[in-house]
Amino acid sequence: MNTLKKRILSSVVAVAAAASMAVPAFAADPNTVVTGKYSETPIDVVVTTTADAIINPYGLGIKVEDSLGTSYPIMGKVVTNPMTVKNRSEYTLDVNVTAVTTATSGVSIVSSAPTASETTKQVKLDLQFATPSGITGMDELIGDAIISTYAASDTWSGAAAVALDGTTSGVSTTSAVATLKPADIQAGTFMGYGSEGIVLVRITGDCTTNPTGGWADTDGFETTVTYKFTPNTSAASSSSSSSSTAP
Amino acid sequence: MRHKKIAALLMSASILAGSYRVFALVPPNGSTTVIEGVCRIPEIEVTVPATGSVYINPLQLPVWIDSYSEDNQILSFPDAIQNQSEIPIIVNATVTGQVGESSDMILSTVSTKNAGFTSKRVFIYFEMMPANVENVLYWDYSSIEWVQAYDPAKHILVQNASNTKNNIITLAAAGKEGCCGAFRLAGDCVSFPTNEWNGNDQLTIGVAFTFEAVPPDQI
Repeated sequence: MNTLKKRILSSVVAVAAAASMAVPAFAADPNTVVTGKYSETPIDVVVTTTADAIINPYGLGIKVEDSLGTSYPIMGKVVTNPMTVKNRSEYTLDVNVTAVTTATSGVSIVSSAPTASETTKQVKLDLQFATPSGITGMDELIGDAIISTYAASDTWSGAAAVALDGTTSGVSTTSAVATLKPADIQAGTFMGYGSEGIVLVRITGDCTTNPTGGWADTDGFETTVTYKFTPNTSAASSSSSSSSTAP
Repeated sequence: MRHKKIAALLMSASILAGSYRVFALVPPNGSTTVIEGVCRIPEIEVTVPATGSVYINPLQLPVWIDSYSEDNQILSFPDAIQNQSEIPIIVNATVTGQVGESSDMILSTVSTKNAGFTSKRVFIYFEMMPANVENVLYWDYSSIEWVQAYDPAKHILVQNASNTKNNIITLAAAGKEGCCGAFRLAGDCVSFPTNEWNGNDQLTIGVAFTFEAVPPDQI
């Protein structure tokens, strides 16, 4: 009798133990699949495609007029009309450049300003970048501000500069010459350029004042500036592909 | 064992989920600006009067010129060239005289004053002085301080052969004081030559100007 009870009891206990140890039922497929996808986000930058420069031995400079007819003189031995790089993206971008310069026959691109007694045709060229903070808004509203800011001498105080040379490989920067702040983007729509979202670019420099035989209007140079834009990783930004458009 | 395997799989899945938005560096994109530089040589533009008049006045009769009366033997209404250029310019002038075919007049190389000449001689020279736009605009040269006597360093003698004086004057840039060059003809003549003065005694004087820019280091 006792043995049967014990057996039954032990069976019950065993069943109860087994029941308490029952493993929950898992899904037939225990695997998790993670899918990664490259998310393309455009970088939109507008760059001036062509510009004019003047070797200006007489120091005559050029005049640029805004929409109201106000004339701004731009003086110097080497001057250019205003050039810009404008960030329409929502990301902060570092700007680097490669610049290749060729001069016409008889003109040399030099690294130092020609002396007063120099008799050959020499030109010293510096590519400068300034990032003013006061030019914001849509394209239609900032044209005059660009001109007046470009013409102001204060704008270029402390501007980053790249000395151009006449080598076939040109010069390339490895440290950003400018940082473009993001544009005002709302619900995916460009609402205007943000503060410090526009870089003003110019070539400045010096030239021989009175070379033997004098300067001719066939004397000159051509510089091709290629920009490289990379997201500034120290800012809260993420990006993938890129595109750029000319104004 | 089974628990561990499942637990391990769950852990790895959570890591991937946190890194979903991978910061993929953008392949460098390029945009290009081409800058073409040329040397700017300022254009020289000067307004030059086409014609002028000069009178031989042997008897020194009073003649009104501008707002004043003159009685010189050689009279000309002053005129001027005007620099329209952005920069100052150097002026060179070449003067050539031609006596009329019917005249026996002689272009003298020296002043006839007190020289005792009896032949029909005329001594004429070209003179140029700085002037302003107002002189030209109002055709009033009464303020010009002409040199009162012939100075070979400053004046050009009128002869049959051409005479040139380089850098006879430097004109300031357009609109600035001294941007104009007033000029006149002056001189003297024999008052009572043996062959009296007559209507055939005519003279043509040509003045040719050339201009060059003042070198940049001299501006």
